[in-house]
Amino acid sequence: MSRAPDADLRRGRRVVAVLAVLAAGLALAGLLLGPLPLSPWQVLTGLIGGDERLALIVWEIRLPRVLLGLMVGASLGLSGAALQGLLRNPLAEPGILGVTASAGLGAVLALYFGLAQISAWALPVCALGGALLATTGLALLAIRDPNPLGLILAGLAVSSLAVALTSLALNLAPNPLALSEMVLWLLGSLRDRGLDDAALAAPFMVVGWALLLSAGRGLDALTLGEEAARSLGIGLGALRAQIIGGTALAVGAATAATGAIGFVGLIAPHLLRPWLGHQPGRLLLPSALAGAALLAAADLLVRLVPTRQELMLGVVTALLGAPFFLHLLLRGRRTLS
Amino acid sequence: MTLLDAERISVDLGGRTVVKQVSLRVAAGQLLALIGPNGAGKTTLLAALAGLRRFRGTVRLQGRALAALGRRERARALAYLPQGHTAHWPLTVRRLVELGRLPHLAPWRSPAAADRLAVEEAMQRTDIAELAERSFDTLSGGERARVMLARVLAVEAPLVLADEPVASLDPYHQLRVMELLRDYADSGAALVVVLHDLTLAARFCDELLLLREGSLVARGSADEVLSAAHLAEAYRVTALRGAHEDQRYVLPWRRLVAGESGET
Repeated sequence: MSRAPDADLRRGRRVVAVLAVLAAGLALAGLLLGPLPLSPWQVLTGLIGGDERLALIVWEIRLPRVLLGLMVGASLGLSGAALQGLLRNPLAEPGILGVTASAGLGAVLALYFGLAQISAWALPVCALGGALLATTGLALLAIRDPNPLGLILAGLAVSSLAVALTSLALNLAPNPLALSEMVLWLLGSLRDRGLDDAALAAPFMVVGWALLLSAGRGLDALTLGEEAARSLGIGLGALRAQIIGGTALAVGAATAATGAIGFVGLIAPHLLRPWLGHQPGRLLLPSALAGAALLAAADLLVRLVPTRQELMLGVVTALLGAPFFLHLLLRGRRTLS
Repeated sequence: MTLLDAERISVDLGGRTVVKQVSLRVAAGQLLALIGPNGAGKTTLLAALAGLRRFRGTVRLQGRALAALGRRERARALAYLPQGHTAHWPLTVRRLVELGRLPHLAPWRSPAAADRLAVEEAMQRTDIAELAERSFDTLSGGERARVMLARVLAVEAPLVLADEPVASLDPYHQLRVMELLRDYADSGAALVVVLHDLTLAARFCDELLLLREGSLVARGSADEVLSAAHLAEAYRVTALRGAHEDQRYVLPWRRLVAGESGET
């Protein structure tokens, strides 16, 4: 019996372990670093409530930020890997396909029409609805027209439309306060989020993650094309619904909590392919961990780089991600068309 | 033992009936060729037999109705090789062949020893063991064809349906793949294979099914099916024919123009 498959499995486990340690380390750094650097001992004191001021910093400011960063990063990385697998397109990503922007539009509409004041659930549910609409539309398009570049263009169109409608809502915003609140959904950020935001997003995300993580085998089979996948016992309708639903839940909840943060879902799987290969199922969990680590790192960067005003996280990921996207597009132009 | 028993299969596609009342049977150890001109409905018929197209009529697999089988059960009972030998991601050869074990894997469990063994055996049989760690996108056409065939053999299904497994291969690899298919049938499987090369069909297959415009024109041995009249009717060609080492060959030679008969 050949040893190669075992070596392959071990390598996968090693990458997962390294990513988990990396994400945990960055999260810890997020708790320690800030305008007022804390020692691990002080963080611990704050966590158990030994000192009121420390408790305030840890529980109200740093912990929610770090937690949400990990959750949102994992959601985006995982959705990116799953969408790439389903659409068999290495450029697919919730941001590029307009899923994030549609979720943001949902959130802004919930604010604009005052639904968010009626119930705390209105905002995430509307964001989720926006994400669901966009993902379903794109999946339907992908069934009809399998050309990968056509799909990306359609995603960009969806994204532009959602951003335009969001801007329209901003334009017509009833007062400056509402305006400043709504701008957040165009430029995502982890600032000023509380534990209640994380708690509100968590149930949606957990269900979304479960749906996406359990789709691995189906995505692997799709490597061979739809007919072959079906002949291997994969129910394509169920698989599509699973990915669409999972993405809508994870990205919808993430966007509702932190606004539009792009490109994490594009970058995470791409960074892992040199180590893990191209098998879609094997990229899911590592992409979630890599997404979490990426966003935690980006948020550290935002907090530590001294600027007059704190940089918006969504702006930073776009500044890093857009050139990366362009690079992939130019490199893959021949193979994609 | 009859493995596949299809009766009066019709398939409608886009408002047109592209397969009309075709019946066929394949027994264990039998290699059956599906031949006919482009657009005759061979691919559609094969996909219907695999349960991938809506059809009218009945298909029985080992005596049980195809429609009554669960998805995974069906996937273990029949393996389907689509045209084109495409992989959307550049997986390694071993990973691709392993996909053939998907119908056997319990949820969340990694491949068991039996799965590993089936993969190794399929790679041995198709002679691609030394390519195991190569990426699919670096392979030649002949290598790709064998990898995809190994993926299908790894299912270890009693019935294999292969759509143009030798298309766009050079003569050496055409013979190679046909030998593999023949060998797999001899080991007790039943195979239905779509072919365009009449000589390969005549030499390697037990029975030929000739389709034209969705209907069965002839069924039987190569001698019966590849008669001049049938070739004229279905393909509108005349052919040179002969025998070598007790095997028949048929070489399409000239197009027929309207009104000509196929007698040579």
